[in-house]
Amino acid sequence: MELKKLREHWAGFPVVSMEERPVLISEMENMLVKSPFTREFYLRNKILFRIAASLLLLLVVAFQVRNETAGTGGEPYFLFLLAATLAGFMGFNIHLLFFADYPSLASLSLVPFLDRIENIFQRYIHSFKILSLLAGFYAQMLLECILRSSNAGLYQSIRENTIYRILILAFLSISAYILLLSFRINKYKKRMLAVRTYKEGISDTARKH
Amino acid sequence: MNPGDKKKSECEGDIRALLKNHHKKIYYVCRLFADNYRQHCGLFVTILTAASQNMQHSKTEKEKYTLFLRACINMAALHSISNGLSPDHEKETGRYKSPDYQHSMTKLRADIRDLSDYEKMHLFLSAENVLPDEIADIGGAATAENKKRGEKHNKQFAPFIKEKLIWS
Repeated sequence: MELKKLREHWAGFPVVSMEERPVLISEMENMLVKSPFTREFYLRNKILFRIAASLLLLLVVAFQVRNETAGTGGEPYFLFLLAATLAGFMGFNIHLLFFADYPSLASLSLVPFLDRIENIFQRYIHSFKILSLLAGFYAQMLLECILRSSNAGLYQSIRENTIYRILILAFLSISAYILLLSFRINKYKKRMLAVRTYKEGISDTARKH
Repeated sequence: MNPGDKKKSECEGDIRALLKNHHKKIYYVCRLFADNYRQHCGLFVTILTAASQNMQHSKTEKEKYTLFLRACINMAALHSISNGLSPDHEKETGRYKSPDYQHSMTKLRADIRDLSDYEKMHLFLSAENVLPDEIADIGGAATAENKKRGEKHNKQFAPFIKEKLIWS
């Protein structure tokens, strides 16, 4: 389409009547606080929720460590590992939140803007690996709780054998990752690929011009 | 009133005035990228929101206008991506209330059917009399890459001429 033809189109368009105006300029005050991104591309609230949840869980773990060291005098290495993973997860999400920088995201040029959105999705997808490890830790804790009440002998033998515990943790974490892969990660992967395809399309057309 | 509050309200007033002056340009983007009335409304609101937030911290009028155009282009791109993601967007048929407007939109849609999004963006920016350099700035790396490639080509060309001049 030529520029001249487009200008003719603009001139030929009927003057937009009030009924076709979706928003009045007086409603602008609300717009300064609202996010312009649709739910599909806006992960800020999810990241904030993750940070708050991991902080809360970290406090619970710290309390558990204190109780365990005071009660048995043993070294709760399993809880230390869990605390380290939680801290890592929280740090990763805080970094992602600063990297995304949603308030100034739309002020980037088109290709860097799409690039940033793609990177946010990529990092968010990576964060599911730590999340599945955490899920593995909590599933193992649940399993041990069940065993303690149902089969005390088995519980003792698992608790005393570090290799068994690590193997169970690995198995549960991988299972959690497979579950997340089919129920959650695919959705974000699809969005990331859509952004990447669009960005590549734009770059290719720009190169041809 | 505090000097800080006064400054803030002045800034908001500036943004409001600028958006009031340029809001027709948002309609132009919506016409190019939205398929129906519902999408038109949604895209208009997101562009207006992004533009007002982008312009909050910029000082000069020119900078504000560039950020306004960036908001238009970026939000239109996101709109296109989400349209591609939702499988049933083709079924949506939100008609415009005015039959004349609907007719103009149908005609425009038929004319721009074969255009890629980049071409639509380029067309919009050209229609707004944006200079090619500024288009490169709004487009980002894709167009900047072209520019750089051109410069590189020129740089390679110059020693070649020099060499020829020396030997001939």
